[in-house]
Amino acid sequence: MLAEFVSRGLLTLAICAAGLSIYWLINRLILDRAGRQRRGLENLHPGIPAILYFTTPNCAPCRTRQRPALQELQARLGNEGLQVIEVDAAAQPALADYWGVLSVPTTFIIDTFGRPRRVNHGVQGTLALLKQIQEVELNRTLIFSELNEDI
Amino acid sequence: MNADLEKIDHAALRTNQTFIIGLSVAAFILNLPWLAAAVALIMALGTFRGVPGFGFIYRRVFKPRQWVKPDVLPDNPEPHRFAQGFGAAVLATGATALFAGAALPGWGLVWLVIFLAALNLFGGFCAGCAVYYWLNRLQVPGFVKRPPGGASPGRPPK
Repeated sequence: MLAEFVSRGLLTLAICAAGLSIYWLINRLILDRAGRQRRGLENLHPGIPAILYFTTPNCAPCRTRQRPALQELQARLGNEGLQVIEVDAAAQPALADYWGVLSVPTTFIIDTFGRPRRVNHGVQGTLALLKQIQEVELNRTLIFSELNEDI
Repeated sequence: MNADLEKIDHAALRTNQTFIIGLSVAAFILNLPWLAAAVALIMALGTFRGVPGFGFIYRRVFKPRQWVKPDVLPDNPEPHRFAQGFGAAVLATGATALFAGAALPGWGLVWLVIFLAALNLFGGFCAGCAVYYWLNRLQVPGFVKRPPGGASPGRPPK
């Protein structure tokens, strides 16, 4: 009996892992596709990481949770540390479709070169967004230091 | 935007999907076909009443305690009702197969419902709603509602 539950639990975990892998793959495809033309990032200031934030006027979690989290992050990092680009997905449905936005809020982490590096479907807290920005920037710093060592 | 849109609380829909996924997974792990049948029954009852099957938990427990915040959007209720009814039918078929001793197709259908509910909950894509709007496009009688302005079939209103 217990062995059966364990085997069924393991099978469930395997199915969930497969689902998460597909989810990760879809996110990668969205980022790769969005990174080709970088529509909506025309006003991006180079050298400063950014968050592209898709929202709508009707979105309650955007208003009550996502926007305050972004405001807190912006206050922490300052204008020289982060730029937040807010897009009304209802007013710009073509841009939302281009970025593969299925629901709001959706946030994209954009590195200092303007490349989309992470995507979050749903609300993300201040610390989670900060961690993602730090990871992206850390990767960039590591790549640069490796390049400098090669030179 | 369509004039006949109603205010739909998508938080209630997400709570419904969460319970469908959780209880169906529990039914699989604990090998309880009756639990899958019970979930199908609750979904079917919700469809007939025109509400999310597990919406009563949201209304009576989650919402009053502010554990889940309302997310009210102008939307068509019919596609969501159709999606839930379709899910109930698939789950009921799966449960029937399980009672008949056909474990593989039975649990396969249960997992299909889990997958579609998860796609809606985590990906924001309602496959049943998309089917409803495609049937509307094909002018099938009874499928009279069109997607809200600016929304693609199956996606929530933006």
